[in-house]
Amino acid sequence: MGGLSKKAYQLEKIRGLHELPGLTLDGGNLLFKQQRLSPGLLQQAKITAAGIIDSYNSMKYDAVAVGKNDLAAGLSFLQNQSARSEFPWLSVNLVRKSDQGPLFSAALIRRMGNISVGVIGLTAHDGSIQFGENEDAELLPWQEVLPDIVTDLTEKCDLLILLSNNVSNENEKIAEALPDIHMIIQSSPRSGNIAPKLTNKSLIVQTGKQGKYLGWMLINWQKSKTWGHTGAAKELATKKRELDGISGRISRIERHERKQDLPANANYQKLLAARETLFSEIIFLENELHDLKESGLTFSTFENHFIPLEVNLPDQPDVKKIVETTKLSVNQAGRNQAEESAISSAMPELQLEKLPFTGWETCAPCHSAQTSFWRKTGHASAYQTLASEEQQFNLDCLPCHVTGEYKDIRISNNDTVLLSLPAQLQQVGCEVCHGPGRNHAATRDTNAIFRKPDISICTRCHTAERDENFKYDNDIELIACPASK
Amino acid sequence: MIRLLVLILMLSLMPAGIFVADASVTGEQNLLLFYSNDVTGETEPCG
Repeated sequence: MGGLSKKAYQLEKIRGLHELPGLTLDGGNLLFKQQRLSPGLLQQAKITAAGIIDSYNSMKYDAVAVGKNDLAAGLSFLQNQSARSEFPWLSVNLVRKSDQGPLFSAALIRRMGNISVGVIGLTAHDGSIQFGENEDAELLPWQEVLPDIVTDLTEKCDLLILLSNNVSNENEKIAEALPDIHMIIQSSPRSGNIAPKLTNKSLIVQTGKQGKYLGWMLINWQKSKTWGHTGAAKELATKKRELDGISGRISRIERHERKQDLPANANYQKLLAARETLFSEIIFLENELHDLKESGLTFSTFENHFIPLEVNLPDQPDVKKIVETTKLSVNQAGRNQAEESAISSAMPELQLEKLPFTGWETCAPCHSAQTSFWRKTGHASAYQTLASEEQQFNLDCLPCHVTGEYKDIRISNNDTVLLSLPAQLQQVGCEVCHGPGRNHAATRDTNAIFRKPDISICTRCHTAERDENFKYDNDIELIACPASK
Repeated sequence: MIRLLVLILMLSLMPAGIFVADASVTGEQNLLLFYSNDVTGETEPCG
């Protein structure tokens, strides 16, 4: 949640630069990373979720859609959090099973200067949400609920926005079926930003996952309630450039080949076909632009920006404080969990001699050059780095800062075990890369240990989200032990 | 055809995202829209 204070700073800055009415919206899936949480993770994840809501309150969000992941701690948790949110949680299709009544507001209407803006929330309906027996809830497909509310809001609003956590294909179907929706802000599980894309009459847009970007638009909304096709003019120019390139290549082939050989020249035939396709695309775009001009309407336009929320950006102080307090609370909850586990002594996993992992000190007598080298790397101090940030009991961080997992071998499926690891495993030790070493240490069997870690070992932690600069081929050399170089 | 080409040329010279300076008529409005999703990220590493 480190990006929140960066986002808050950017929001303040842009709001200050443009003295215009503004809407701040979120497509959902903001509270939890997964749709299901293990019992061990639940307590800490709930504290983080509450901190995110506090941050959103501070940033003055106007509305948020209910995403599948937002229900990970149960419906009642989200309803309780909704009560302390200073913005509405929207879902038109998450209803009570008993009477189909609403569980959250379906939509929001906000007067902004000369226009009314309607915002509808839609929760992805893909069969993956399982409600508990005691939860009076049901998720309806958009086809059953969206058309009616769109008709209703079209009469009341000038601009209609849908917050949807459906995947792109589904949102495109919505755009095709309901042209009165002017914009779909998407929150689908994909990694990159999606620049505004016109599908039928709707713009579909999304920021990349895991909060790495803030999207913002300057919109000039016109009475035509129709987006301008400035994109078509741009596309036309691109197609014409492509056509010039292909025509040049065709001419060159015709100059250098005998005429009778051309029918058998596959490349030449391919270029001819591509030129034909481009011709028809250009004619289509030219006609579209001509029709638009003839209609005499003034179209609505936009400028879109994606701001990368990088670590070196300034922080907004209020939200920074919320994030810091939340992180400390998470750590304290983990510390308490660890102490409770120690008192109950219910964790046989903690007896080092019973684990497949043995710790780097066991490796040192036979591999002294390698362990000496490793001790100078960031891997050796990974746990200490967490401790210095007061995050050594944060279960969201811990798995990548200790020795506890190699491919499908884990110390335990109980996440809380990581809170009480013996000191010998409180590093990213030899066995994280080379596999559990107990058997190898006992037998000296070289087949029981793995020399070079493959990329999957590294990307368990060095994911694109956490370490976007990670390059396996380069970085493996930086941590390769002396003998293996 | 020539008229069409001139029209295309004019349209292609128009910059994207043009704004009307004065949008004071009912039904017209300049506004700011911020959007985001999935905030539980790792922008700031754990340690």
